[in-house]
Amino acid sequence: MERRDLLKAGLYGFSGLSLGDLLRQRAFAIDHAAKPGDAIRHSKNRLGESTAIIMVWLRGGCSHLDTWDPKPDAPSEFRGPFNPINTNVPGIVLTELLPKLSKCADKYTLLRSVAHTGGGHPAGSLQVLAGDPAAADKTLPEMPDWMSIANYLRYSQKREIPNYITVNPVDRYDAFTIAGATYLGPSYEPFRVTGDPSKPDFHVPNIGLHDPKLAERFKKRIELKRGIDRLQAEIDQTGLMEAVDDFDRQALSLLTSKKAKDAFDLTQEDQKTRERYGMNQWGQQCLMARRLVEAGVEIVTTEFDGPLCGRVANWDDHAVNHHVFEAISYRAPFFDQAISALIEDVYARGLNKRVLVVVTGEFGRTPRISHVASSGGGVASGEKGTVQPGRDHWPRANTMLFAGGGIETGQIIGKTDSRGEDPVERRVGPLDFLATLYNHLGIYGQNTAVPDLSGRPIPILARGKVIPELQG
Amino acid sequence: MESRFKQLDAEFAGNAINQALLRQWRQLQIQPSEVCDDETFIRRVSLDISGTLPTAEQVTAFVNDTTSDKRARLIDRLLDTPEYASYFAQKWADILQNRGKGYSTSKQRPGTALFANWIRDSLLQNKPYDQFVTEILTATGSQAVNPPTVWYRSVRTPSNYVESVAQAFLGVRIQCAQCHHHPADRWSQADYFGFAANFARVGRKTGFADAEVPTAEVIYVKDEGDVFHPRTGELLKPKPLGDDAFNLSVFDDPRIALSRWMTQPDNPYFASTMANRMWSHFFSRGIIHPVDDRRSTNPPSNPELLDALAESFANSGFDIKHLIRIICNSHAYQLDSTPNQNNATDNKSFARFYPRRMAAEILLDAISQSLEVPTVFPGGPGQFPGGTRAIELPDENVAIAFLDVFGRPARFKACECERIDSPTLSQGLELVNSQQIQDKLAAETGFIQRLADNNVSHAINVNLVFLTLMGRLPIDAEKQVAIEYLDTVEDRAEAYRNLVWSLLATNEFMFIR
Repeated sequence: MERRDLLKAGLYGFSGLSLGDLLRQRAFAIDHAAKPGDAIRHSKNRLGESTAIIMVWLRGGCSHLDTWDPKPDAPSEFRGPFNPINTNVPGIVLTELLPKLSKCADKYTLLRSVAHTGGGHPAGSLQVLAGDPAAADKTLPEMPDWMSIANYLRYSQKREIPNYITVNPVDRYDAFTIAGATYLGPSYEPFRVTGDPSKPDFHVPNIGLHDPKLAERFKKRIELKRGIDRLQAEIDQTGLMEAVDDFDRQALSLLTSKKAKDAFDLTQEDQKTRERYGMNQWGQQCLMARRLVEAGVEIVTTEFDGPLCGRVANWDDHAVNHHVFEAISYRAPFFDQAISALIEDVYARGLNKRVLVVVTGEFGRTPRISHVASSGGGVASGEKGTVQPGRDHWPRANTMLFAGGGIETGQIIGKTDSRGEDPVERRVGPLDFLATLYNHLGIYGQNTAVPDLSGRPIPILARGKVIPELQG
Repeated sequence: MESRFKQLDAEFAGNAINQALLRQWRQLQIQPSEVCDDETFIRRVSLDISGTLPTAEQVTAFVNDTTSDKRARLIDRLLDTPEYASYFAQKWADILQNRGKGYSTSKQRPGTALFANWIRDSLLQNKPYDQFVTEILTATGSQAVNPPTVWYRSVRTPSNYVESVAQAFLGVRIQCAQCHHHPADRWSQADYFGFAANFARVGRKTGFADAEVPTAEVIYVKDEGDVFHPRTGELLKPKPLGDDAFNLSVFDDPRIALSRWMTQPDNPYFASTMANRMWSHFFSRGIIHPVDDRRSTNPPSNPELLDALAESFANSGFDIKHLIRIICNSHAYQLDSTPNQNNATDNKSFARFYPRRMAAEILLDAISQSLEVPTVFPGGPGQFPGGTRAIELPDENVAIAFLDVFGRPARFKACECERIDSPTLSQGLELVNSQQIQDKLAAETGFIQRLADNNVSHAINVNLVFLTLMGRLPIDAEKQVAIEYLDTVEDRAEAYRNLVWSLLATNEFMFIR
């Protein structure tokens, strides 16, 4: 520890930590990189259930003013056309675009005061997902995101289904990569499910082979291989050989396991449940996420984008892209239905203590409405040249939704100013968000370091405090 | 142990490299493993020098050769193959970030292809390394006339220049010094920006903007271009690393002064960095490790060894093949990977060979070659010519899932660490269930079909299968497992498909050992 830091600790105190605690924490973080699976022993909550997270990612950034954080008293150049509505929790108000979510406000908590400095999609995403402090965009992430870190820390070769699955992958924004395991290595990247699970021909490749003969053949081949591979793992100090065998085993298990096949098979749900989520891409993505956590998967992400967003297929409602209000009212019904169904289902099935549901995008949107010509016509956008309202990127304020996870729900945390421009109460940053997610997974952000490519321990969080109201 | 050391002492007389290795083994009391057998050696050295699996015939001929200098002659022969040039060209294209992605392929490919060919031709003619690097750093003109100008396409900002050159050719990571004095080394901001000043007069004209960056630019030397210290505002003269600023007139291209400084035989970084990089290629570990992280707080594990290599390399006139020759003929490179009780945990004194996974391209080529089914590479537009091998591809932007899944780097960094060899679930799935592999196994012509159609006993075929894939004959137990299996399956082609697959998926096949 630097002398300067010691002085600071002395001057300001560190929320009740003694200097000894502080030194211990720092020393621990610096001299020791966690090994794969190191956090498994803390993976259960107080009830003895394995914790899990489902994160719904609103790629492009959702307008907080038009959904979670209405400002009916703001001047017209800010507030937008949507009326506020009451919810089943007195004092919590949403816009009229979210009627179904207004009936289950007792089952989630809104954090209305998230702020950061990443104004571009890549930088904003990397700040939120990986805690990268850089304000400038990067083509590729330089730090692993929370999902792959959690996957690393909870790695076990015994799992039948991969422990980190992304349904409609949260990984890119145009040519930019916004998530990834970076120096942890591709072993900790997610299992990716692409395509629209509401389509009748939807199918996940490499899961539960349709042809039992093929499965039999693969089993034979792997058996045969085991009979032949005489190269001793002892010649390899790095553990690579053993790991290769692990993944072969997992591949075979995924290919042939009934459990894996069932986890992805939405036709096993009754039709009423499927319809409650919405027979569309987002609804069925959420349903799949719920099935996956029920099957024991602990890290699930799912991205809301594509045709349900409107012309440019994401939430990036600049006026050049979309008429922001048409766009958000176009997609709101699908969104409202899918998210409310997921939340209610999580509670109905008693998953609400162990599974934390998080809904967020990379940032909010500019409260002051702009008026600019459309760059092309389509769903929720006027013909090219039509001047239409839009909202731009707004990292200074965003709202996030948290449900389940054993947290106290029916709350609002934080507050933005009268125009929704900046937090005025309980401002929190991405590192606090990450600390909160890690905390749910039994990972103690400031005490944990993972190895970079040269094996040097890199703390997974430089700073950041668990948001106390969101602690289960 | 001492008796073994004594015996090696006598053997190593006059060989500075082997003596340096021995000095360390003796000091640490680490007993080296046995010398590996010929089958292991030909497979290892063929994969390491030419990125190519030896054929069954080559293995047999080598094993039966009774001359005493056959390993040295094999090394010479491999260095003369075109595959040597292709394979090392690919390695250099990674380091030099000859990147295809992020551009519109059809417009960009001419540039990447020209640069890739230039690198390969340089290696084929065994262009001296000092000349190779000078031609890149001082390149001017268009890509058509002077392909190494394409390096300036991926490397275009002051921080790119400094970091790429320092990391690739001098083995130094100077990044930290951009913002503050390097915490673990001697570099200051003045060093960083003084180094950047060498490139301050690089000019670009024409070219067309395409996706991320302009392409097909003409590189020229501008009349002026200054760099200032970010804190003090002082004008910084072009300066080499850790030395006084160059004394230049306005008519001098500072890049030429820089190259001259770098390529002096006594430059403390240049020969040593290349020697270390090549050593690391063959041993999976640098003497300074990682290879581009030379600093006082990360010393070489065996300084005499590194010095001996660097000196021999510089004295040879920066002859790259000479460097490879002395590395591959070293005693360490002859050793088996099987540890003894004494060196099992050793991972930096080279007392045994450390096995490593084949790189993505080599693995794919090895599979194609053994199965006699070439890979079809989409060319955008069209396809690459039939029989093209993965190590010959001009850039990383050729859509073959297999290569990405097995860790082909994106070429965003001048760091070999970008190539990652960790195993993944997708690799398991790719091997077991991908179209690429299934198609190769099920091809109507090729190795498997030949095995299915020939009227030869399983016992003979099993020998051939092992020789082709593993580069050795099966031991009795393996042979028995294989034949018993083949006997149980009615469909002969299916039986061989399964047998061959099961060998492809072994660690023994996928590792260089």
